[in-house]
Amino acid sequence: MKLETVKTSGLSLAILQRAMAAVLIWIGLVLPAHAVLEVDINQGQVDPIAIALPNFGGADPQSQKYGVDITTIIGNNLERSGLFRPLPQNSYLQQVVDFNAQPRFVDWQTIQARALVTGQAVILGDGRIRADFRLWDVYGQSQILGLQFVTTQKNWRRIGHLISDAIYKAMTGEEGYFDSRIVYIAESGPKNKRKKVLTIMDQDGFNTRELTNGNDLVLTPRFSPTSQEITYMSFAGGRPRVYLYNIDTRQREVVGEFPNMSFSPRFSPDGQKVIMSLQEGGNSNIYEMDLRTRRLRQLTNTAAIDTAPSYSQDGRRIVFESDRDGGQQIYVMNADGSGQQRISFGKGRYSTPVWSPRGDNIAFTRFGGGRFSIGVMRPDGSGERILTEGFHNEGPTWSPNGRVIMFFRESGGENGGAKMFSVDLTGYNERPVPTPSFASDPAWSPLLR
Amino acid sequence: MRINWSLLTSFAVHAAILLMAIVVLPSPDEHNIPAPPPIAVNIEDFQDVAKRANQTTEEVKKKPEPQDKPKVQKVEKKIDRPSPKPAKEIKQAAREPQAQPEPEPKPEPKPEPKQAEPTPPDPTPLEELIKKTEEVAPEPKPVEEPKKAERKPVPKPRIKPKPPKKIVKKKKQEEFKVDDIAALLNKTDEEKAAPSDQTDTGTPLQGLQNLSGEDRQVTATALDWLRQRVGQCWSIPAGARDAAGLIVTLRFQLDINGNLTAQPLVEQVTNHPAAQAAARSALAALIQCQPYDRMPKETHSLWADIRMKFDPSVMVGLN
Repeated sequence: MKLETVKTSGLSLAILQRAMAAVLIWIGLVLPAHAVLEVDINQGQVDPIAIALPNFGGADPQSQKYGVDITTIIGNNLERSGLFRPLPQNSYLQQVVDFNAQPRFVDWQTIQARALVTGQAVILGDGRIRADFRLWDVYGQSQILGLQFVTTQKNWRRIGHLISDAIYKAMTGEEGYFDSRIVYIAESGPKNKRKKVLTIMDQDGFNTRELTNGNDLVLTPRFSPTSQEITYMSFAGGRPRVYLYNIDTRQREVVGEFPNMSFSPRFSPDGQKVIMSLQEGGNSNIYEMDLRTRRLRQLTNTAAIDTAPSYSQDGRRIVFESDRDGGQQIYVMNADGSGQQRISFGKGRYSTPVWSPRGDNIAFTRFGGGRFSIGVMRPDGSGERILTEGFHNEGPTWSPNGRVIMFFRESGGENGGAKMFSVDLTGYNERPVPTPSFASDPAWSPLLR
Repeated sequence: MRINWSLLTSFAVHAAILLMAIVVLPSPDEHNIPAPPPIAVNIEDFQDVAKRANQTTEEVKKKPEPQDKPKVQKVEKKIDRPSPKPAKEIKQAAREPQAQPEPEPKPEPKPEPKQAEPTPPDPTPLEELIKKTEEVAPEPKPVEEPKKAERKPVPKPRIKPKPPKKIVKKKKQEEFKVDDIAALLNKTDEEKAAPSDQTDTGTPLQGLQNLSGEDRQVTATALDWLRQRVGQCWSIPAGARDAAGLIVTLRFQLDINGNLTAQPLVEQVTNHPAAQAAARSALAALIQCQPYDRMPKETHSLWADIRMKFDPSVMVGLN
């Protein structure tokens, strides 16, 4: 009997054990329960993105040339931004990339390219040019973008800028700024008798066009939101006044007839109004003019020089400079003129404030210690940072995405003159802006439509 | 006569049962003998003998659970990698090909090996091992045992029983051959005997500090290194300057050499204009910076499966 009992218990035990093991195995298979290690990464690098840009292909010599030229534009744009590092083409392991095939990602990983751009140019039957491109995520091994642009051959450079913007946005997460223009004052002639011509060019310095003949002094040009109009001040007729200029029609008109000088104009974000300073004796106040009704509204009323107004990106606030407290300082107010308050309290004088298209910063010129600096601060005056300084820097203007600031720098001396530069918000990526002559007073357009 | 019949019947029945027991069932000893030792043994073998010394002894005395434990551990190991991740990998691979012709090889190879691992733990070897273990177990304590005990005392189990299990898992994953297991078990047996003695003696205290401390420190150090390593490769996209609310979470698995076993999976991306760019840069960083070969192999099971959260908000002064 005992034996039976023992055996039975042994059997049942064995069965039980095996059954339990089976159940546990089954549970293990069905429920992959295991610990996942949680890791937080809060530090990273701000290195430029390594990008590979093999020349765009083409079926014939003409389209091949376009392909190479477009590739060059893209490479230059991205490199100038400081956020990309185009890899030298002679380092590419895969020299010929079929536009319609998937690239050999391993080859591009080997040279540590984060992204790869492939493309081709095609001359269409009607003479227009078409460019196709693909942006590849080398490590993700997938296509990020694939776009096609068509335009006239005369307009081919814009294809390069549009593709640059597309790449920039995909890789950085913010809008690009390459398909945009700069209007500025081209200066030539002896220093005491400078000829100043209103000039427009692409943001990379190409396609320069003169808009005025240089007979009259022109200053402070500003783009409209559509980039088709410019407002500026001109001494035409011996009286300094604010004008509107249509780039396409080349028509010019005066913004209001005032007894005294009008100056420092700027468009509202909706393009419906122009804000400017009107001289009143030894002082000036800020006014807003509705371009449709031509109705004028006074926004400031002080016995001081209030000038250089600039709208916030949403049009609800205005930043301007004033010497009402002594030296020039920066103030903000609501768009109706209420709530005026000073925001600059650093050493020196602050002038030419410009609200960023992103709304997060205000760029300014600061003069102190015999030097002019270009800096930024938050709309509440906090976070002031100087991006560049020197003998004479002035007139900041924002790129459409609010990352880059262009300004001009006067060099002293008999043969000195004004040249334009750009610097990004880090302050580390300062570049000269190529112009055929001396240049000042740049204004950056929004992205073209 | 009747008595004879009853005796005969009784005898026959008993004989039949005996036969059945002998033929059908494995020897009673096998069942009775609490297989528990294997588990405890493994742990000891690998490194931290002392830790489990107490547990081992107790387990052996009490129940046969140990048998189950080893299996579970093995299963977990196998399961960990094969089931969840491979599936994802396969999905990814499937997606990519559709969009673009040639999928890359990375994901495929790894899944297979893992699957293979699960099968090895068949019952037969265990039985054999158990037998061997039984035979060996009874024998007294060798001289070597004390040393082990000194290295890794008993206290651990009380405070932190987890570390030992992890270690066992790792080892199992690495070497999953039956022969090896058998060898381990044998060693275990010897060691088992030792721990019990030691336990009785009451020497185990030192072990706790070493084991638990080491495990955690190694992990912390390794984590710091891992963070640094990935951080060095992670290029924060310019669009992340308004980084508040921009978080990218990637999930990935590493083999024991610190290589990704497959393409990392983007588990979560917050709603931010630069989120996609940040996800791509994070993924590139992970791939670019492998292998993560300074991760301690002994604790592989701790970092085999990682969920990594990229949060650049701390660095928002980049503007």
